[in-house]
Amino acid sequence: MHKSMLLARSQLKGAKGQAIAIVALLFLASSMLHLWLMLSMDYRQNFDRCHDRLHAAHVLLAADDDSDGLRDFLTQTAKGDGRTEEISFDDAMHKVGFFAYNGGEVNTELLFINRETAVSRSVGSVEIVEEGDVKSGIYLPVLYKSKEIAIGNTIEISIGNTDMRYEVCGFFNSVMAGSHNCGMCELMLTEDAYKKLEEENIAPKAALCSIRISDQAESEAYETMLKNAVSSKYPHVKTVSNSYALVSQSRYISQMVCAGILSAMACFLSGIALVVMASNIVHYVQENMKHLGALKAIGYTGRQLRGSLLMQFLLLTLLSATAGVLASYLLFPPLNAMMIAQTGIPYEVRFLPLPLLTTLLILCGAAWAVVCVSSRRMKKMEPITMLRQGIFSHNFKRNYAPLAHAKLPLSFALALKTTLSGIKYNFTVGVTMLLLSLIVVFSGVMEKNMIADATPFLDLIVGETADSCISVLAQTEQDFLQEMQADERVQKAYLYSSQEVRHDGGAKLMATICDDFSNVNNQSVVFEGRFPKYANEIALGATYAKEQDLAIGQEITVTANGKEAAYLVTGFTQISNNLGKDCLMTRDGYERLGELQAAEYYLNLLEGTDIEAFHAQAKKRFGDGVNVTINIRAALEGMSSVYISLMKVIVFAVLLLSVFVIAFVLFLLVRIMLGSKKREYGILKACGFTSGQLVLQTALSFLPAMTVSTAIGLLVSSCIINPLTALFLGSIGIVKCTFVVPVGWIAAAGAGLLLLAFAMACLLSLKIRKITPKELLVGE
Amino acid sequence: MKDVLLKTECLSKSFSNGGMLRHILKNIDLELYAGDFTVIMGASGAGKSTLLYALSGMDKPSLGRICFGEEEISGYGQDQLALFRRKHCGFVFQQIYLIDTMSVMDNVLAAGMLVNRDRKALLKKAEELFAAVGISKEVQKKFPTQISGGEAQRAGIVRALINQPKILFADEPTGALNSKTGLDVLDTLTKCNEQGQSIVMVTHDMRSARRGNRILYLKDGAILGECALGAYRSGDRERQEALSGFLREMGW
Repeated sequence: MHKSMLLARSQLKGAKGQAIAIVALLFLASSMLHLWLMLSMDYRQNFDRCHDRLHAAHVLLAADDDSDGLRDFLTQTAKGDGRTEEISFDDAMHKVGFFAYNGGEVNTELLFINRETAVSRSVGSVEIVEEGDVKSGIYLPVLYKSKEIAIGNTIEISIGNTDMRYEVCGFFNSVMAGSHNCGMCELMLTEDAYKKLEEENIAPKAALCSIRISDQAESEAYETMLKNAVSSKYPHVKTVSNSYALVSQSRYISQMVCAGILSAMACFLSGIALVVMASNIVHYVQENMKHLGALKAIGYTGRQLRGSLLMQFLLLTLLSATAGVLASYLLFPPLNAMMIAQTGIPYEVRFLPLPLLTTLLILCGAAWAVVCVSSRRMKKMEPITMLRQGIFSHNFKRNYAPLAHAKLPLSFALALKTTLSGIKYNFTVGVTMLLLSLIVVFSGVMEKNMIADATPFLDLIVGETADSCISVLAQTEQDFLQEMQADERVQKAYLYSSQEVRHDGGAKLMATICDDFSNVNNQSVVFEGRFPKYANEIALGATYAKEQDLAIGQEITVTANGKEAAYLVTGFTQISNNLGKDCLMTRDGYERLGELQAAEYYLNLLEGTDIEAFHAQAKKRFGDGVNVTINIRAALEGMSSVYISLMKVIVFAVLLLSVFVIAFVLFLLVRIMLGSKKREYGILKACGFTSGQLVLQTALSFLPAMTVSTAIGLLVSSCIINPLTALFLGSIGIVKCTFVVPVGWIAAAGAGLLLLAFAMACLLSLKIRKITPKELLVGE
Repeated sequence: MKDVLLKTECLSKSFSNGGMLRHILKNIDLELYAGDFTVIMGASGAGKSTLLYALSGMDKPSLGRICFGEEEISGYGQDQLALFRRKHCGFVFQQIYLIDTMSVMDNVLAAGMLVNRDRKALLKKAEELFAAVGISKEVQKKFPTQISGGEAQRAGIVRALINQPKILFADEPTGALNSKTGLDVLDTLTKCNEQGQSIVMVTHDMRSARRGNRILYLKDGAILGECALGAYRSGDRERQEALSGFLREMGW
């Protein structure tokens, strides 16, 4: 053990540069790995911790009826279910509304609660995160805290068709209704503001029912049961509800995206670090064969020699992994801040032993395996064979690219010789560039489809986008439609309503209803099969269909409003709004289950149209006939800006990381090459080669492997990027991605990557200048 | 009157060793002539190899001038010296220094292609030189580690001569060879010199030194004396005695 340690120490001393490069790569790999593990093992569990701390509901239902009869009915229904643990009711007001946020709009079901009521609820109380001296006004979920929405500032909230102005008193944390991703968003009003809203009769009074159940895995089924019961008994009462299952998933989309990207980066970096480590060991064994043979000859065993290598690399891995873990704790707060902008649930960064241990175990285990496999030559060879073999690490079976026949200039021909005889270097360079190509393609696709123009991303996530949505009452619909058709500013107006239906009276599906689906802007929502055309047809969310093992052509029963009807599945859709639990049907199809009380129309407006002014005119013209207006563009901007900012940071970070990876890998390879070719360079210099020629020759020798692997990497990555993205987004209902692969961008970035790598190889090879022919003569 | 090929004025070379300055070459004034087979002799540590490196542009002097014809090479930078070496110098080393990962032919062509872009002419020239030193086509295709020391050194001589250098520098060219192969190498060098090739050779071997027509004796970094022997003739006893006498006089 002691002898192995001595050997390990001397090996480390002799290869400081290589050790530094491996440490740097392992450092990056471990920080990514640890960040990923922290996100996967703890970040999401923060929701549960918060849920427990606030004694939050597993099912939340708001019904626009505050009569005692409904409350009694709900109590009886809940108590009749063995899963119920606790039930509580609170007074609230409920209405669809919107307010400006993050350069766009938040448009959702708003739930207004009295501050005192909200903080003292027995189930699902809120916690005040920040509070000012403002005595009258509104408290918002902490998610919306921004430069514009700050304590003391005034916020304008459109509740139905009325605009209300409130002074911001503070911010709170609500687990089940603290974000627009929860299906409903809680807003707390001070006593006087609540009373005023009540008096103005803008939003209907509602009963807010919070239920805790014994098994949270049953939350979705329980919600379905409760909602079915209410809609059967009170068919005309509007209800909104959510469940633990839906909220815990929808509030953590950014965590899921970040974790996915970090896991990929961790795998890439660990893979590269291990390949580099293996290449370094193989090279070390070859270059030091004589030396190792001599050690064996004087009595060192193969186990001791391998043990020294194992100790050396385990020590390096342990040190760099620990440093990486520490660095990840520094990186975590900004990452946390970005994700809180989507989750809206405060997370306190704390020491987590399990991710730390897992990171160390994974990396040390992988390093151990790599050392054992790469150094197996040392175990088997006899000392005399090693002593004799010495420098014979070259394959003498073939003289690659003989100069007598090479048609290339001398430097190119010599570089080609090095390339063809340097399989280890080519392999390491190849693997690195292949993986980095995938990063380039990912960055290109995200830049094109999300950062530069978010439409493809929104089409994928939201499904359908237009400029405006106006919800009109059934009796106003014909007039409204005529008016829209006559209005020059309206390019297209089509029905695009949402209604809740249930499959076989069980799982809730959000049905999108349209007169004619050929009118919708996003024709790729149905990615397999076709849109429904007839009254007995339905297109189903692919994720749900997969869960239920439903196929195109199969007939399913759908229920709503106490009625049921059979529908033929014509296609699969992918919309992430309801985490894949969606369906599409025609108006005729829906009317088999009930009448549409209000019709939501999507409008494509002429470019430059003032959407808010357009809405104001519509409200003026149709009065109470207009239920709600939504500026879709603004709402999407508000929603997408969080994801776009997150993606910008991710793309920048992965590209920066790629530069570091290239630099470290090339540094290591060039250093190894210079070490092993020092004698050769000395001879060539003595013969009259200039440093410039040798630098060029060294850098050129990496170019074929770089070019081929980058080209293959870009090509393969371009083909797999969409299925890969779909795989990452599978849990939010995305099955097929059709992102545009920007060929020009990717080709330019690929060329840039190559140029960068070549320039770095040149730069790193400049050390050749220091090799003098005299050094060669004296050194031998 | 012979043409001066290389000339040094007050050539000095010092090394710093543990804070102490060691003067290896001290104010050497020397002229090397075209067509000569100059042999530099001296005891170990006398500065023979240092003088050879300085003369050949492998190393820069600390002080003084080295002129190659009209060119002063002592002020050259590393790349200028490299260009000077490829154009005017050939080298034969004691350790041979062929590149192990290249075939014997490629070792020669790698040096030749630096100067001559005409690949056909270069190949022809290489083959002529290989034939002249007795290296077969078979050996040309082999790697240096697959041939004998003598063959490798003769291949080294071909590499040194491929660019038709004005001057060939040889540093103990037989030092790593056995007696028989050493003799072959010396014969090759002698033959080259007879054909007009200027040679400067460092050796401490009497048998090798006999091949020179001018012997310089170095002691403590300075030229202690020199001896003109005239053209080499095998078995010339008078020549041998003159050399022995000179070396005795120098304290050899």
